Amino acid sequence: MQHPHNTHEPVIFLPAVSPCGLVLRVAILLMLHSLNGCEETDRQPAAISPSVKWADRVSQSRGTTVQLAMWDGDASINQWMRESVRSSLREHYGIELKFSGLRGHQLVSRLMSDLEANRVTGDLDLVWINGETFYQLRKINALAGPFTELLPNARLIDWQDPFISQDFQQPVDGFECPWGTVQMTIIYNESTVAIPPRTLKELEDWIRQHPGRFTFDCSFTGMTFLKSLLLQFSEAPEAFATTLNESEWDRCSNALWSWIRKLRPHLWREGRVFPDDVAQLHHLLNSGEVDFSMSNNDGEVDNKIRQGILPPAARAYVPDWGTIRNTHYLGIPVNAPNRNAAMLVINHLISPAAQLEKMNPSIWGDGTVLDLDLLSAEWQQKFRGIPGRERAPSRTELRKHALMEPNAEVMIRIHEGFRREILESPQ
Amino acid sequence: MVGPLEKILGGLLLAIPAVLFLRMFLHGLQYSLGLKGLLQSGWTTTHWEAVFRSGVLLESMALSAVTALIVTMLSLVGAIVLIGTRFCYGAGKSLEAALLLALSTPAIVMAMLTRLWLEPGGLIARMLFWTGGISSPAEFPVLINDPYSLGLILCGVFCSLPFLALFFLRVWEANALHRYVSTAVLLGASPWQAVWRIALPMLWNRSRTLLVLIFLWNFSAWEGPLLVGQQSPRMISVLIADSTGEFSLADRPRSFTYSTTYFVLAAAGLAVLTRRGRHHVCRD
Repeated sequence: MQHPHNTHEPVIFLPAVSPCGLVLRVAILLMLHSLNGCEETDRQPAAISPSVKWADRVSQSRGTTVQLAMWDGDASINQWMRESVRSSLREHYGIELKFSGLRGHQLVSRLMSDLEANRVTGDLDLVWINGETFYQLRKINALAGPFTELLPNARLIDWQDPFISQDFQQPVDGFECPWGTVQMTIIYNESTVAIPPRTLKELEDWIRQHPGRFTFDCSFTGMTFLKSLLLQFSEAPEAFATTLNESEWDRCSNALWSWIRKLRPHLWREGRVFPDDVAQLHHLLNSGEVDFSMSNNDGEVDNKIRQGILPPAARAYVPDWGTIRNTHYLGIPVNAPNRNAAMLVINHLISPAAQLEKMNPSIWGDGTVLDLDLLSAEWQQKFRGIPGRERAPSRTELRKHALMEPNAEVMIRIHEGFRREILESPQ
Repeated sequence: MVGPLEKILGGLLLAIPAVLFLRMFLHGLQYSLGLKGLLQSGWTTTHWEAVFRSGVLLESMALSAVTALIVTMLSLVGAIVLIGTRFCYGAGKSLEAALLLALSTPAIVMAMLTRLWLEPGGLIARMLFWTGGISSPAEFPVLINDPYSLGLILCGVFCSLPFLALFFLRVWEANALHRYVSTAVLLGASPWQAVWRIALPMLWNRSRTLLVLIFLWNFSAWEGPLLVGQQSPRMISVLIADSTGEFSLADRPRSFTYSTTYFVLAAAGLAVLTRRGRHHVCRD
């Protein structure tokens, strides 16, 4: 028996659907399609072609813009970058330098989102980074390179110095260029603290005897301070070098958290709150709420007193247990739209002229990454003629108490541990 | 009559945002389950387990809800007092100008001002120090980043109260409430009685939805909690923002777990509110 439909014209099945329903269905299909294959997990770092001549890079960069992502929490650094550096780049290379204020973790998050969205051309050409930021950016292959060997001024860098050639125990491998070198110092108010504590025991006693007068921030500087304490609890600091020794980490980090918990009731605001960043800590010292601050820039005390951010009686020192010395770097994101100009900017920033200007205590007071022996006699004389610091020990003196940065993983774990063990744990 | 083209356009207007929201939700869900991201590990419920085991999310949700509720209630009371004062004592245009000025101040500026006024080295502490009220900053009560969120609540009230008070003023004028209140006063009620018994119920009827919006606005506020809120537990917005970029990259899915949960709870809350709204309409 034949189906009745077969006796008529062929029937095309069309579901009864409204125009709105049709649009919605198409949109959902498109959305489901877009959910697949957004990311490439085996991305390789983007190489920078070594065959392009430097002169070509210079000519191609003229009239372009470079977007630099940097920590913008220091007024004198901002002023130097926005005025002196910007005008010399404009004058010498015709490059317009623009700035984005980003901290390390924000930068990592932003570049990671770019990569996950397959954003081939990003917004940033240049990033100011170090430590765990470099470690994380390398982990997700978010940096272009290697490029440092292509920079003419890179031959003047002191690559033999392990504090420069390794960033938190990780070789830089040409993926970031050293820019400045610093050592952490503790800052105290000389009018209220006659003799600053030199040992951990003396610090502990001082905190107990002066309740509410000591604290540290819960950002980069404070966590760097905790790293130097962590190393004191270790019998084998090399356990925190290239590969992290888990059992040593457990033992030392527990000792560190116990030490903080023990002293917590004697800290500023009984250790219930910690300053958000070092700028707030400086403010507390200046307003007389605490007697100590700290800085990752050993030359900061002089210029911060000049700006009125620290009291005139502020002095910097390094305790006997030592403080972390490290270098900060410049890198090029993998999706930087203007790589050539970014390289030019980096080359300019590591030039003897820019390094000399940056090292002046009245401008920034940042240590140079250049090997002075590789410079001409004239430049050597200029560097040695930089006015000395007035309220901080000399760099030679500081270096005697310099501690190598531990593995970058330590910084990440200290951040996590401090939140979990201290901030989120009731006293 | 609506033609097919209008229907398609109308459908698009509804479909595009709906699809975008759904897309974001699915992206977050997949990320939190290890199915997305540069460092994806493959299907896992580890991040969800970790989030609910730690209790951080629930603490943040509870803190955000309680803070938002207190801010909304204080703003409501403050706005009523302002409107009542205006009617009883005739504050007039100066009050309106002050409210407009406060309303046009961005939340981040309001948070910074709150901090400048209320921190131990701030303006009020300095004034107290100069007048001999305190002899050191340590004697000033802790109102910023404090465990009771007092600074945060004040900051929220500074932001929300002008909005609510101006809304009440407009409702008052549009509905000529002064006539009802004046009549009540003529019939023997005191000005405050007239405001309380007559104007207030009318204002309340018209502001219920707005109060829900103010609650939601404070629940998800970011600038105030970031600058003057407590460090632990954190308000939900700060928790999500921090977890997106802080610490280990391997923990990034956790931030999507937070935001997915927040999305589900917010959607459920809105669904309940919408349903209740429909019931009210049906009953009316």
